Amino acid sequence: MVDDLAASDDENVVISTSRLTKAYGSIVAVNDLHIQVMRGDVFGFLGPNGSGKTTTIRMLLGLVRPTAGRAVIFGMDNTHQLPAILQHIGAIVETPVFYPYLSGKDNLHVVAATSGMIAGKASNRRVAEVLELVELQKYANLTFRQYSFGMKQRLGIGAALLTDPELILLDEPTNGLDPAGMFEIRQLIQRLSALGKTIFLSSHILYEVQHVCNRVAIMQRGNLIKQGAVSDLLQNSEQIVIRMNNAEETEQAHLVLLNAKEQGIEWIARTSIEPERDGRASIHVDAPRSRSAELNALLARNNLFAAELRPQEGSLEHVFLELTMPPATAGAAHPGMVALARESPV
Amino acid sequence: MRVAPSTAPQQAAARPARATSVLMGRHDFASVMLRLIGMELYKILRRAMSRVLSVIGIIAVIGLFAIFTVVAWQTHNNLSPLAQSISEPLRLPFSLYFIAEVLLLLGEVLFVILAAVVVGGEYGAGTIRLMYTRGPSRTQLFLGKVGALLVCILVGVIGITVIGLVSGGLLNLTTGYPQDFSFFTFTWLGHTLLYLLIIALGLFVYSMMALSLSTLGRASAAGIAGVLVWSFVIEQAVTLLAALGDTIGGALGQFFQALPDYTIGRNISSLLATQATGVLGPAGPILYTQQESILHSLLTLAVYLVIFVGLAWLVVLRRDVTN
Repeated sequence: MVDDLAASDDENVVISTSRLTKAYGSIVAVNDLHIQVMRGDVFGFLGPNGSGKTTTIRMLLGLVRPTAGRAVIFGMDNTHQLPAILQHIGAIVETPVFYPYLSGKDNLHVVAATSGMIAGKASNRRVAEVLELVELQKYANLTFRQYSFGMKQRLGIGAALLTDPELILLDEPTNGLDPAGMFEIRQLIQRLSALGKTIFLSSHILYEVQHVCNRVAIMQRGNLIKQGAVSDLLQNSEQIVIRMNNAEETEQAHLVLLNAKEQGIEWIARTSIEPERDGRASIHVDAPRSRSAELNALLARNNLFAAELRPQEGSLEHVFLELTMPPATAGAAHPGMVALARESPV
Repeated sequence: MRVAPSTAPQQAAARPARATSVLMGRHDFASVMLRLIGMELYKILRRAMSRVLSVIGIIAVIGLFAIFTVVAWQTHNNLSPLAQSISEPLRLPFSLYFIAEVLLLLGEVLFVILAAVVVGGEYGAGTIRLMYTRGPSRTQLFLGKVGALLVCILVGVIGITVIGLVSGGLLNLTTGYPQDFSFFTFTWLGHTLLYLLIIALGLFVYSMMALSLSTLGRASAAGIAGVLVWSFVIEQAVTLLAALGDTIGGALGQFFQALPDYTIGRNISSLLATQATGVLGPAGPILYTQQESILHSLLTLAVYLVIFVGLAWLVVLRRDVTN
C-alpha cells in the first residue's frame, strides 16, 4: 500500500518515477515503482537487503536501463536527456570508487574535469574547499589506495558535492564512518537541505533517516510498500509502554487491553508483552500518546494500577519492521535489521 | 527524538544557485571532448605503468643503436665499404627503418597494453560508474579514450623517432663515419612524415582492437591477450593457411590464399612499402614489398577500425553497469 503520493506539481517535483521496473531474466529487482521527490526534500529510501534500492538508484542515474517505465528528473526523461540531468546531480552509488593510483586531490580534479568544470585556479580552489569540507585536506596527496574505508567514503561525498549540485543521491553515505563521522554527515545533510538542495538518501540506519529525512519510501522485494511524510508515519507508530507491579498484574492488564480492543476501542492497534533489560516485562500498546490518560483510566476501572506509564514517540524502526518483517517477528527488536548492514545489490 | 519537519510547499521552491567557486565550462560537443581527452591524458600521465612503458620503449630504441655501435666499433679502423655499411643503421635515413621496426614490434605490444589498461582498468577498479554519472554521455567518454590513445600514439611515435635519431646520431659520432645529408629534401621529409603516420595508423588499429576486446571482456587482460594472440598467432597462422591453399587448390584453396591480404600486418607493410623508396632510398624495395594497393590497404584497415570501434561503442551504449 502506497500512501501520500503528493499531488503532481511539475515545478516542485524533482524526481518522479512511473511504473519503473527492472528485471534480470526472471528476477524482478524493481517492480512498478512510483515515487516522487519534491524540491527541498530530504528523501529517505529504505528497505532490507535485496529490496531494490541500489537498482533504483542505478536506474535514476542511467547506469542501468529500466525494463519498463521511466524516470523523470527535473522534468526531463532520463532515457533521452541523461547528460543534461547529470549536470545537476551529485551521487554516491554503493562504495565510492576512484582511481587507486591517483591522490585524493587528483581524483577530485578528474571528477571536476569530467563534470565540466573549467580547469585552473577556480577548479583548484573548489577542490580545496571540498577537501576541507570532508576533512581530507591533510590527506589530499595520499593515493586513494592508501585511504582508510572512512576516508574513501568522505572522498565519495566530496566528489558528489564538487559541482554543488541541486540534487544529491547518497547511497549509504555513513557506511564505514565512526559515530563522530556519522554525526558530521547528518549535520552536513541538514546544512545542504537548509540551502535548498534536494537529497535522496538510501540508508539502513533508521535513526539517521528519522533525524534528517522529511519523507521516506520503504521498499521490500522490489516493491514499494510505503511512501509518505516521516511525521505521518511516526504518528501511526506511537506507543504507550506500561509497567505493572508484578508478572500477574502484567498478564491481567494485557488481557484487559486485548478485551478492550475486541470491544471496539479502535485507537488500540496492537498490544504485546515485551521483556525489558532488567528482566521484567512491560506492555507495549500501539496507540497515540495522547490516549495515555484514557489507557490509565481503563486499567483503573479494572482495578489495575500501573507502576509506570510511558508514552513513546514513534520510531521509524518500528514502522520499518512492522512493514517488512513477518507478523510473528515484527514486534521483536531485531538489531541486525537496524545495524550497519551492507545491502547486497540486486 | 527530533523529527525533521514535513515539507509541504505551498509554492514553487526556489532553485538553489551553484556556489560561486564552481565554474562550469561550455557543454558543446567539442568542448566536452577536449576536456575528456585532457582528463584521460591526465590520468595516463600519472600512471606508473605509462612511465614504465615509455622507459621500455626508450631503452629498446637506444639499446638497439647501442648494439649497432658496439658491432661497428669492431670495424672501427677498417675503411672498407662493408665496414661502413655495418654502421649504416646508426645514420639517417637507414636508422628510420630500425626505429620503425621497434615501433611496430615492441610499440605494438606497449600501446596494446596501454589501450587495454585504459579501458579495462575502469571496469576493474569500478570507476566506470563514477565516469558514467558525471554528465558526459557514454559516447563522449568512449571517444575521449579513443582520442587520448591517438594522442599517446602520435606522441609516442614522434618521441621514439626523435630519441632514436638523436641517439643514433650521437652514437654514430663514435664510429668515425660521417652522416651524409644528401638525401635530405622536402620530398624526403614528406615521405618520412607519411611513413611515420602509417606506423601510427598500424599502432592505432591494434590499440583499437585492444580497446574493443577490453570493453567486451571488461578486463585489461582480455584486450592484451586478444590482440597478442591475433597478431602473433592468427596472422601467422593465416600465412600458413595461404601456403596450404596453394596445395589444396580450388575455391577453398583460393580463399586460404586470399586470407593474408586482409591481415593488419600485411596491409601496414604494403602502405609502408609505398613510402619505402622515398625514405630509405634504394634499400626501400628490398626491405618492404608492396603486396596490396593503397586503396585495398586503407579500406581493409578502415573495416577493422569500424568493426572494433563500432562494436565497442555499441556495447558501451547498451551495457548495464552493475558491480
